[in-house]
Amino acid sequence: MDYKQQNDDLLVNFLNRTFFHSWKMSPENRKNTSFQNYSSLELELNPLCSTNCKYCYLAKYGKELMPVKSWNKKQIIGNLGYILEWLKKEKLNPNLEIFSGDPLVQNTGYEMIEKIYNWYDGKDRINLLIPSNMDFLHYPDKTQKILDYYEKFDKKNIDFVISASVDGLFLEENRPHRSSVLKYDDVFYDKLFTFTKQTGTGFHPMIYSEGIEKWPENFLWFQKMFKKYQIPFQSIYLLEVRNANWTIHQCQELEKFMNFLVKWTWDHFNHSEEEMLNFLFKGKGFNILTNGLSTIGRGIGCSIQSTMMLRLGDLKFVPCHRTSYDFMESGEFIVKDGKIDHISSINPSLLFTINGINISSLPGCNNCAIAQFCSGGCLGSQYETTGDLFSPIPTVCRMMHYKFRGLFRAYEEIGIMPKILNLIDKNKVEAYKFCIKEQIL
Amino acid sequence: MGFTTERQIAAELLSSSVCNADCTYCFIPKVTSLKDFLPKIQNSLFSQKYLKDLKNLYGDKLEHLSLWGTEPLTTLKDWNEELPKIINEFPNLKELSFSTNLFLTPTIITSCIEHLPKNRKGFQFNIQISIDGPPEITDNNRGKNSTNKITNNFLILLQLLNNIDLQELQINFSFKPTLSLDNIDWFLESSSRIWGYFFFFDILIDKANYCNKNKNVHLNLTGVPTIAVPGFYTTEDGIKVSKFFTELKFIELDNNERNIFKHIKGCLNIYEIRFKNFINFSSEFTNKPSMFTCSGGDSNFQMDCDGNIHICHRTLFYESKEYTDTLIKEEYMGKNDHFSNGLIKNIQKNWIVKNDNQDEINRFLYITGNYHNYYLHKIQFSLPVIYELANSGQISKIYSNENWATQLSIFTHAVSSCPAENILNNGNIYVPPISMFRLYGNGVFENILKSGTPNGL
Repeated sequence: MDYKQQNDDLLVNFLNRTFFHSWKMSPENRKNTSFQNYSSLELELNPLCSTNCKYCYLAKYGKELMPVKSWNKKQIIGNLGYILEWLKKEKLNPNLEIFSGDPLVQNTGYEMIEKIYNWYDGKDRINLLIPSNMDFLHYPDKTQKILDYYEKFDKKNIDFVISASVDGLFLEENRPHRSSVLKYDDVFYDKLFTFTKQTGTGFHPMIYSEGIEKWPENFLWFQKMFKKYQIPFQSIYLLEVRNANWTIHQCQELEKFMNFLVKWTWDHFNHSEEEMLNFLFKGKGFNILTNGLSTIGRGIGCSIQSTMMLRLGDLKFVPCHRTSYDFMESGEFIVKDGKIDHISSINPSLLFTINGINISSLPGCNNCAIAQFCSGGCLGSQYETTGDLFSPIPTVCRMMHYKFRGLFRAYEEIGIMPKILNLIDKNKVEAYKFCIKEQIL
Repeated sequence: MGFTTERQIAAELLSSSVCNADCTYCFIPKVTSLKDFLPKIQNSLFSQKYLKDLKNLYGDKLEHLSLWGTEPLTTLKDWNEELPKIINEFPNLKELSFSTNLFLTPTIITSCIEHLPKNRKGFQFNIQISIDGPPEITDNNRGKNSTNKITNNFLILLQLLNNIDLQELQINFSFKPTLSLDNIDWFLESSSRIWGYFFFFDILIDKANYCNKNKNVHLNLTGVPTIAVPGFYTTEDGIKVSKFFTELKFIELDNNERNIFKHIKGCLNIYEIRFKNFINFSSEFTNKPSMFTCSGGDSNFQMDCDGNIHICHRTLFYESKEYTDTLIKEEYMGKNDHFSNGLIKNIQKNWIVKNDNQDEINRFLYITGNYHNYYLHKIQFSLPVIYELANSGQISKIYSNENWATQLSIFTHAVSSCPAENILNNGNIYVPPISMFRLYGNGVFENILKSGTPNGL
């Protein structure tokens, strides 16, 4: 067996014992095992999008992350057919995600959804998750089609889920539309909140450095709209953009926002310690409030270790959508005689490393005082900034310090920190004590 | 500004781009466009650009200078007048070095030596000679009749040096034998061939000692071989290399007991020697990790003729898109992962930087420093690769065990640290190529551990 064949075997062996094994399991059997980490297959279209968000890596590096030759619609749909047939033949039922610039403003996305609908006849319940900028709401026909999907897919044992990438009224300038026809206005927001109320869609706005000082009032706006449309207050998942351009001033504003968010939540629960702690440890905590309190067992908090990302246009799979620069490609599905024939390796070693590491083992992180809390940098962003996937971005490290200072000081101020220290891992407790003693946080 | 810390003290200059050999394991594909670099090299040299670049980057800190590229003797006469100027500009410069195949007349070297300053106390000129063994090996790797050419020229060179008054100048010679897998196959057909290999070097060293009468010429010669790396090694190859080192151990023990060779003594396994060195200094491993990494991208950097800085000579010529396009388009496509998988683009974009762009130099030093200045992540990042190999049966099953896997990871980093090769193979500076784990993980490392004695490991 030659070198290349051995690398192919190595990659296939890895996939068989991780993702493919997980996809053969029922969701019930997968639950509470390490295989729940490998449950998803993300299908990537192209970087085409109706918005040109300031912080978007696809807007900036789309042609490098997804080569133009892989954007061909016919190829994407044809290859999806091969993959779905292959999944059926191998009896694999992953949770599916459709990802691109925005899949729901382009016909290719709808063709994909229809194809997936026609394909699935499994007994196990799976998800089909689609992050979207919600611009499809500008088109009544598209909106109706999507509303119909919820019911259609439910009957097919598929949870159809959209996650709304909308930053909010006060941060619209971070997400400009490419066309002047599309607008953020009262009509759009009415459609947005009506739709999300109807479908249970959650929001995942991005906390970006630009405009960070507007986040308190932006958050209040979200809550006002949630109230108006009777949407649960916790339907918002907050995550900071871990790009390099956080200035000291912006970090200070982030710290203030963290403080504001903790205190707003505390007031929301009428200063009930029990409800607050439940929200932080058992509830969603807007995601960002729980940062630093829990430990991600698999090593990296984002989906890079739990999702296999497949670029449909060329059938190459990569560690994640932001680590899909050409040398990072792990392998590819090879088509022969109109069907998937085998898997060929490209750079399996990098995939194994990314899949097997803990974010706190990055250079410098191991000795960092806040490593116990920090969710770490984004590998793709680190590559784009430093040229090395694993070298932390110093300005992001600084931002993380401010973020945790904002959160932890607020927990101290409202008086729940002693209780939190009783509930978190003892390594975190010791790290927290050290940070306080040395005035690091 | 340039290099802003005291750490950077060694430089490699591109001196040649054409070669009179085409060695089987050479990392530089010999395409015709290589000759296009020659005028640029000459221009950098004669216009004093090299000198100015060195001065700007290193200030007075430069202590070590070496010439790299293809065979240095093909262009060495161009350097005769220029080298003294460079040497005189750097008061702390202690040594000059290069590696040669010695195919060309040794008078090229003596002429260069004639030009070097003789009054700098302790200044050393280190010459490494690439010779892989007897004709069955060297001729196979380096071309027909190469063994004769190299040995004859070496002995003539020593005799010529006897007639030169070197004053304070010290000249050191060493051999660099490299074995390919073809050579290993040949050796494994009969262990007497391995004996013959060491007899070849023992006799050559004896002749060299006899020829050398100059007290300023020092012969640090041995025949201990290295294996061509990273190569494209399979499990089967790793097992073969392990068998080879087992044979080598028998010869070593026999030789140590009976003093069979006159000059070749001690351990014959270079990886065991390196690992013993690592063990001896291991108390420093956690607090001074850069002691255990290659100097490339730490204290030592390669300059090319287009004003770029590289980690080391390993990525030379890749700064030229014309050159790499040739490799990607032509016959090298598919032969090597980094010619086809975008890995060269990564090198060009992130790991070769302009020497007049301070921001880029700072970024470059940050990411190369993350390789050299920390240790834990390098060990940890390699573990998932080792586990996969063990799990797939491509290396010994024992490496499924965390302790064994950790030891193999440490060993691989300790005996063959090569940040440039890591990037070229994985796009990841912290993890050695898969090939290396197959090479060491199929008996080589286990046997080194087994061979540990109270006086050894």
